[in-house]
Amino acid sequence: MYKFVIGLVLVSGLLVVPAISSQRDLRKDFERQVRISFPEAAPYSPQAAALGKMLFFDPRLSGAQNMSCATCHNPSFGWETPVARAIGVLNQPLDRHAPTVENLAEADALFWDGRASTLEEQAVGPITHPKEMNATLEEVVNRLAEIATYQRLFNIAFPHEGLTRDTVLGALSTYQRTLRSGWAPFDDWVQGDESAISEDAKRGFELFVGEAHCALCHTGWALTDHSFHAVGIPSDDPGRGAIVSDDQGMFKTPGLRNIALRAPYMHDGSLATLRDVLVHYRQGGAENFPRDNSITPLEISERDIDDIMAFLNTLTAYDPHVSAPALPAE
Amino acid sequence: MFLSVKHRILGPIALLIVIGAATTAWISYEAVRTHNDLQSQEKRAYEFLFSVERAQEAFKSLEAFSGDILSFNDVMSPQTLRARYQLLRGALTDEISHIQDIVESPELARSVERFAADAEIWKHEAEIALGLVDEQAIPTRIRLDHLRQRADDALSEIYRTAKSDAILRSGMKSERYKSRVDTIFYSMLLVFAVFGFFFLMFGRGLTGSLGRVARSMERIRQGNFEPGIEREFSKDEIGEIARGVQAFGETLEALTQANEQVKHLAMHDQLTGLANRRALEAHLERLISEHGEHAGKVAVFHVDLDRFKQVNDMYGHAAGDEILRHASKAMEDNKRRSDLVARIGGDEFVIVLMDTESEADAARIAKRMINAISEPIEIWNDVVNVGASIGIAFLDEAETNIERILANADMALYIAKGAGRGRYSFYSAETRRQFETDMSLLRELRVGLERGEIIAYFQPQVDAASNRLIGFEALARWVHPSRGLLGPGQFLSLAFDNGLGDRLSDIMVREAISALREWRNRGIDVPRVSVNFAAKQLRDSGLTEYLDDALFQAGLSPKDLAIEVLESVLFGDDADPAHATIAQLKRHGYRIELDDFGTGHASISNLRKFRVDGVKLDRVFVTGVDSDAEQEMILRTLIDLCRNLRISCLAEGVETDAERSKLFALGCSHIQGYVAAKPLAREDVVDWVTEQSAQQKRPKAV
Repeated sequence: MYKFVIGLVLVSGLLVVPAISSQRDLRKDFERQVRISFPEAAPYSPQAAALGKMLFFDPRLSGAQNMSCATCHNPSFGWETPVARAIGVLNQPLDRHAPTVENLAEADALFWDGRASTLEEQAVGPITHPKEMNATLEEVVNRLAEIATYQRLFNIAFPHEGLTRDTVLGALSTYQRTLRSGWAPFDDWVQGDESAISEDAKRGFELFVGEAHCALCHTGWALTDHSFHAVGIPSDDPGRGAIVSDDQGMFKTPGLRNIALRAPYMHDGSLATLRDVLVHYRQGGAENFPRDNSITPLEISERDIDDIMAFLNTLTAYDPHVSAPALPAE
Repeated sequence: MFLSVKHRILGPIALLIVIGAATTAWISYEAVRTHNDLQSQEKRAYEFLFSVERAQEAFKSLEAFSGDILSFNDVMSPQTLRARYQLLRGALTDEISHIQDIVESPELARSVERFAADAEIWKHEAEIALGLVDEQAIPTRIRLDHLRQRADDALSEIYRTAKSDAILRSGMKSERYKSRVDTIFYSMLLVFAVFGFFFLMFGRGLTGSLGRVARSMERIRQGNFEPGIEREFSKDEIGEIARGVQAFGETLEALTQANEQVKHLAMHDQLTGLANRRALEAHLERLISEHGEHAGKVAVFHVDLDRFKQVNDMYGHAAGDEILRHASKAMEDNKRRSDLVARIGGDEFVIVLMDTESEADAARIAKRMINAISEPIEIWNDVVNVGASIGIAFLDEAETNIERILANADMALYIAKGAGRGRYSFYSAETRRQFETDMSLLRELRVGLERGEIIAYFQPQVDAASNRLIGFEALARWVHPSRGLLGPGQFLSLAFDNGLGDRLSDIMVREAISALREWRNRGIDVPRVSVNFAAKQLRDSGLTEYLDDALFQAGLSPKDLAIEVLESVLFGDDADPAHATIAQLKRHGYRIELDDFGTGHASISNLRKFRVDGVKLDRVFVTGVDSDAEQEMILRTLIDLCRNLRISCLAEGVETDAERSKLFALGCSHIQGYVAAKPLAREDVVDWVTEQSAQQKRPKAV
């Protein structure tokens, strides 16, 4: 009897130790990068970044001068806006939910469908789209040029080029590349602070990387593979399928940093809460819509869902660390 | 090592003061030094902490600047940015190098290095973020925050460490000061203990020496004059005192001895070493004052040596002294420890006997004393005998007067002597009465001698065979005015004992001569008259000449006078001048007769030697001879002896016809006694002779 108990303890010990060590190994995959690599073509400078921030918050980049980038990419909502689909210049919902602009320096495909390959390229889209900001870049450059301060600042940030279409985009892109979600309890845990997150959250993490298959797509420190997947959202939006015909119904995997701040969810904002999202994945998505093979019904309990939610909440940064710049008025 | 007392007392005090002062100075010095150390250390610590604070501020400024820039709220030209950054960085670098300069502890120096490295990393990353370094990989804001935090933490850690170091070090200083003070304190205690121990030893030696001196003085006070001062007292003051004490003791000893000697001289007889009269009186006084504390009676012996004067006369004073010493020793040997023997006069001694239980006890001791004194003494190869008589009186409640007690003993002695030599006698009321009677008799005797109350009676000596008159013995009679006629037994010894012997003998000689002269003148044929002489008279060398003169004046010759001497006179030795006188009398033709023959131990050889003319058999042999065979035999032997030696023999005290017949039968025809006639007054002699003649002419009644 005793031998049996001792054996049981030993066996369970043997089982627990690799589990802990594997969890630690898994944690390593989520360690944050310390540097942001800037592309050769768009070198970093704090002046450009500062200028980009001004532009990002400047509504004069829209045709009617009534919207700034931050209107839909509001830092207070995890750089999104809390509506299912963003409201454009026409005061009408757009086609998709506004995605976050955090942690995009490494992304080589932008928009839900990945139609832009750089941030510079991407920036053109919202500024010029008639439903969105409804401006032209010439209009924007001219408008900015009339503001002496912007002239001077552009000359500082881009001493060779000054205020041009490219430098406007470059400044915006440089600023956005510097945007990193803030340090979260999860990061502390990854660094080894066991008390940083709750036991529920740790279990949630186990489920996240294991049974719930979340980490198949939400990988790395930013919890995204910057790739495209079909997850069975009942929608007739072709998504990536509009660019690559084989990828019907696929959308770009969003990072999960600050995810609790970013409701509603999915490309169309169709799921109001994280629980809805998790319930959706447990069901394995909608049957009549495109789904990756990995999207299958999951054997997870309500408790599991709670745990995963607890884990997801640990991704919310302690400090959003965003302050607003003073914009030049003329 | 000899230290004077002054040094032994003052030295330790001075040394202890010096130790105390030195310790105080040392502690004060340590306190001041520690205070200075603490102050300078505190100063350095403050300086360091201020530097750290300045570094923190510089770092914060730099970081704030960098933070401002990286919040991207303003566009600053790279030149301005660089200039301002470098200004701030320079300030920081200066502070860091200053810290590195003044940092003291190696641990802290390592912390500073760590901080410098952290700050360097942060600066490097910040410079990238600030666009001061060309780099495509830009550190995230988070990384910068982390690096800044690390550097900040390192700096705060330095600050904290420095602060606690300063506190710790000042604590250590205090600890070191405390332990130093402890060390000093315990050293002082040790020094005090060690020196104190030595001082105690010194002090002990000192008090020991003083104690010994004190004990020596106490011993001197108690009369032990050996102060026991050792040589160790040699140099210091105590040595001086000790020597003083020694000298004092010696002087005191000499004085005490002298005093003892004086006292002894005052209280003792020089010759015998016995107590003298004064000591005796003191002793008796003490006894009387202590009266009642003695169990038994206190007896007082008055001892007088018999024949001392004779020995003194015969052998001289040196011999007398020898006798006295012998007698003293005899008495000393026979007394008990508590008894006292004192010499109070020439040959007079007093013995005070303590706790005498009874008269018998006293008598026993007296007898022992007499026997001891009577032991023969050898003087100049001669054996001399003295005796002693003892009068005994008791000291009792009734009698506390010393003079009277001594007088009582003296009276008893008188009685003892009167009873014969070598006796003792107890004082009693009878003694006193007898003594007083004797004394009054003596007074009367002195008067009587002057008044002629002493006269001679004459007892005829006859030849029993022929009834012929041989002679008369002159016998002294005292015609006492109130008591009538007294015989010699009543006053003779009194006279001789009191120096009246010469006078008495003189009277007897003159009476005898004048009587003989008278008788012859009246035609009565009296062959001779015998006169008794005591040894003392015989010792007078002028006796022969005196007798010759007296006889010559009366027209008589020496053959008319017979000299009766006691047999005991011849008992003495050749040195007795009496012997010379006897020999001289013999040569002059005087007839020498031995009186009381048979009782005085005269040696037969002396009978021959002095060619004694006749002996008189003592009445003790004669009385009752007719009825006692043994007595008869002794008498026969004596008579035979005389006959054989051709010495005439006369029996005294013949009172009955039977005795006369027996004597006659034994061969002694010369008799004296009542059977012949009683002693007759001088005037009656003529009648008696006439009557005798008439009787002789008548035919004898048968």
